Amino acid sequence: MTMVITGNSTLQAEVEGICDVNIDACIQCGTCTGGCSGIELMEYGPRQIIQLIKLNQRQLLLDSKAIWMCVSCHICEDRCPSKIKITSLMDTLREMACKEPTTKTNEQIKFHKLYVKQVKAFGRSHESILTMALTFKGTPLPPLKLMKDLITRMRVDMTPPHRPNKSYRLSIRRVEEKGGKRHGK
Amino acid sequence: MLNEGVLVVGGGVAGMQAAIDIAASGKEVVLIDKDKNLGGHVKEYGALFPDLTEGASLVEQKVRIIKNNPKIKVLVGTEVNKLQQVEGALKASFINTGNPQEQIFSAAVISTGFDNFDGKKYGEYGYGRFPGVITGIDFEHQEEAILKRPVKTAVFIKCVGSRDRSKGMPYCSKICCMYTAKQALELKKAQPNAQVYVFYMDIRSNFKNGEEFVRGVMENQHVKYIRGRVGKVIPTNGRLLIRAEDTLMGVPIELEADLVVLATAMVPSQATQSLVTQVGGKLDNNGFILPIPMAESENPMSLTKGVFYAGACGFPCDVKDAMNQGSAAAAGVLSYLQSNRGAAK
Repeated sequence: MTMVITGNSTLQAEVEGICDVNIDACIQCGTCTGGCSGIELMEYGPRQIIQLIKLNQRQLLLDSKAIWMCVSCHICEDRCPSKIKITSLMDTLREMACKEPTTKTNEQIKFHKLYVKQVKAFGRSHESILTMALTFKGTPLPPLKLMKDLITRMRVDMTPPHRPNKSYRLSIRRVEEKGGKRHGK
Repeated sequence: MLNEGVLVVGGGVAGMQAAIDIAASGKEVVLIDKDKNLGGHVKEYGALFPDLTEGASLVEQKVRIIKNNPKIKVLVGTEVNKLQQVEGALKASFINTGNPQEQIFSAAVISTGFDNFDGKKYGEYGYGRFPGVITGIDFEHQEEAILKRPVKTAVFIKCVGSRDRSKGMPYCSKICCMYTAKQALELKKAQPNAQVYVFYMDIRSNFKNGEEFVRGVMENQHVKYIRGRVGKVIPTNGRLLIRAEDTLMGVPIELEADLVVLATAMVPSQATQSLVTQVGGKLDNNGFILPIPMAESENPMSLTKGVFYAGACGFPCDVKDAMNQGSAAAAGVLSYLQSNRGAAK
């Protein structure tokens, strides 16, 4: 595959505008990928993600599974010799992917949006409701045997979710109003 | 005031070279070292790159010259704790065999050298915790024992402490690429069946014959260079599992080794700071001596009036460079003394 490079990376400017990282500080050493706990599930390691930003590969990145497989364990950030806040960078990329109109069909984003909605409403995820909601969005149900096992062994909560108290609801509202504007500051 | 001698602080290769060159012109030199023997770090080194001269024999040669020159007075086991500028001269106080002494000098050379980076600061490499993980300096010190012990796979990790802003050391220590290649060569020569891997970010072999030396290690000794910085060393089944990324392939890699050698950085020595600030010199952000801008100084090694520096207290350098700087500082001292005499007349 040939990547066509045209001028400076607009993606880099966009990312650096949202989050406090200097993409050009990366020396491509690969320490991040070498220690990454989710690398087996990622098609691009953190080092490659940074290089893709430099190469302005916006669509490739925002459609990728890799940015959603990062569990924010901070190992990469801790060891990075260039002090790049990789975890903040991943958060920024996920946020951008959510806002991108072309990535609506992306499975990870569908899941993410439902999940966040649930956490906001119930204070935690509620697996059975989440499974139902995903099914409505077009994800096939898990195999029947698995569902039966999960329910009979009480791995999935079938009782209705509880409603969080007022202080939780207020703090969620506060985060929505103020937070999430700039990462890593 | 004119006949006072010259003080050289630090008896490593730079300081010894400076003392030899100053004394050769008939000036009295006092060479002070805090260690029991002259030779600094180099006396403990094995072969030096790129021509594989023995470090110990180089030091022996310099010590012999110094011993045969009555103009050089050597004070070992002595530490200079005060160095001040007094009326155009330098007053040094030091403790020699328990007796505090003071002496006036007309000029001084600071060659306090460097310290070795503490490998324990990288918890992920497990230096000091996992047997089999050593530093490049340990390799030099215990060379014979290490080369005798059979090794199936050895891994060299470069840039441990160098070029790492998160550890506060953004600079390149310059010599690690070369000494790693040299150690890989020695290991491969001693044990031709051993697999030797070197994890690197960049190969900085900008010394005379440096590039040829590193290429020779790759091409003739078949040491495998992998581009990537190691993420973690994990002890597994009595061996050491290395996790890293091969950045040229873009894939995570794992390999098991018996010996891991960390190419640790050169860090500024503690002694430098107090001495340099006492005579009115400055240190750079990393703690090395901040040189006077080239266009403003008469000698490249001059620091303040009558004070010169040489060697790795200025910036990491190889043995050859340290000796060059020692000679340059000696030339600076001699021309300073000459012009001072002219001014006194």
